Amino acid sequence: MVELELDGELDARSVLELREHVARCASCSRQAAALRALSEAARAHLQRYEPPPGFERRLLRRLRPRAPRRVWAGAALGLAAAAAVLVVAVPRHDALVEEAVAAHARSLQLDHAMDVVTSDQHTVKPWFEGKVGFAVPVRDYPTEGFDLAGGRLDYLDGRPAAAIVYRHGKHVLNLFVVDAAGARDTAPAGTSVRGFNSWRWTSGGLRFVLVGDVAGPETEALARRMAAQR
Amino acid sequence: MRPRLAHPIKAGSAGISVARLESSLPEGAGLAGAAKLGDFERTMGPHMGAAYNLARWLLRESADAEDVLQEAFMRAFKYFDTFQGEKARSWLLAIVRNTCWSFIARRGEQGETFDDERDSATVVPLQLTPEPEAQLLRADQAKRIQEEVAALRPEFREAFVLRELEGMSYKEIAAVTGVPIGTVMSRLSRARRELQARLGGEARKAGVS
Repeated sequence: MVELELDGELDARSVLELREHVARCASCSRQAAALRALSEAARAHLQRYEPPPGFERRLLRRLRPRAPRRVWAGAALGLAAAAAVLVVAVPRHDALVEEAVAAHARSLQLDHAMDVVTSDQHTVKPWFEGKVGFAVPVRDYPTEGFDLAGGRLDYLDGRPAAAIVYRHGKHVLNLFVVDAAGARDTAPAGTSVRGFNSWRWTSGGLRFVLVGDVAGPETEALARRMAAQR
Repeated sequence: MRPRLAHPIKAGSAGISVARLESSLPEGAGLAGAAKLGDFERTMGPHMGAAYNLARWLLRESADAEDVLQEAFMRAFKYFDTFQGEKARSWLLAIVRNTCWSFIARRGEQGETFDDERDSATVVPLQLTPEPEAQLLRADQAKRIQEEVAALRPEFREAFVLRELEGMSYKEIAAVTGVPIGTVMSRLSRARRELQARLGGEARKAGVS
C-alpha cells in the first residue's frame, strides 16, 4: 500500500487515509521511509543511458524506403541464421505456417497466451463469436493429455485468427484457425520450424495450424485427431 | 481502510494491443513514402532516448542495444500503420522490449524463465530491522544501486527502470511488458525488496549499522 502511494497509484482519499495510518504506525512509517530512500537513490544515481551522437540520424536513415538495405553488424548474424532456418524448413508457399509459428512464439514471450482463460470449451467457443467471422470449433482432448486452457484473438496473414490454447504438461500449444471459405480439404501435413512442431490442414472451409514444442509423434497424433473430428 | 487504485486493474487487458500490433500486417514497405517516414519521425523520435535507455538496461551492452534498437525501429516502422494514436512511448517501448527479449533468447543467456507464481516464494522477504535508520541508505550504498539494478532479473529490472527512470504508471508498464497490472505491482515490489536486501544487507554484514 505504501508502495502504491509512492508510485502515485492511489486516489486522493486513500492517500489521506494511508498517511493518517502511517503517521501512527512505526512499522509502516519505517517502510515508507525506506522505500522513499530507495526511490530517491535510484533517481539520483541510476544512469539514464543516452544513445551515441548521430545514432538517431543513422537509424532513421536506414528506414528510408529508397536506401539500399545494408547488412547490419552484430544482429545480422543471428537474424541471418534464423532466416536461413526458416527458408530451409518452410516452403515458400506456406507463409501461414511461418506466421503461425511466429505468433506462437510471441504468445509465449509476451506472457500473453490467452485472452479468455478457461478449460471449458463451451466458454471458449462463444467467446470467439463476433471476434472472428466464423464459428470456431473448440474441443478438449484430456484423455490424450492435451487440456484446453483458453483462447486468444490473434492475427495471421492480416486477418483475425482464433488461437485455441492447449496445455500438455508444461508445454503450451496453439491451434490457429483462419477462414478459408471455398478451399478444398487437405490432409494434415507436418513440418518443423525453429524447434516447433507444426501441423496444418484444411477442413470445412477453415484452415488449421497446430504449433507447439511437444514431441513430434504426439503432436502428429493430436493433429490427426483434431482433423478427423471435424 | 479500503484502498482504491487510481487506475482500476483489468487483468490481462494490457497485453492485447501489443499482441495485435506485433502480428503480421500488410507490410507496405514499397508504398511507404517520405510522408510516412516524416510522420514516424515526429511521433517516435522524441522517445528515442527512452527506447535506448530501456534496451541498454535490458541488454547491458551498448553494442547490443544499438543493434537491437535498429531491429526494433525497423519493426516499429513496419507496423506504424497500425499505430492509432495511443501513447506513442508505450507503443514504441513495447516493440523495443519484445525485440530485446527475443535477442536475449537468441543470445542463449536466458536461463530459466521467471514464473511469477511459482517463484514468488523464493524472493527475499523484506527484513524489518529494529532501528528505523537501518533501512535508509547511506550515500555509498546509494551509489551501488547502479550495479545492483543491473544484477536484478530482467523481469524485475525492466519494471524498476520503467518506473524510476521513465516515471511510467503501472498501467503503462503493463502495456510495455505485456503482463497484467497485478504482475507489474508484484514485480516492482520484489525488485525493491531485493534491492533493499542487497544494499542494506551488505552494510550490516560489514559491521556498519
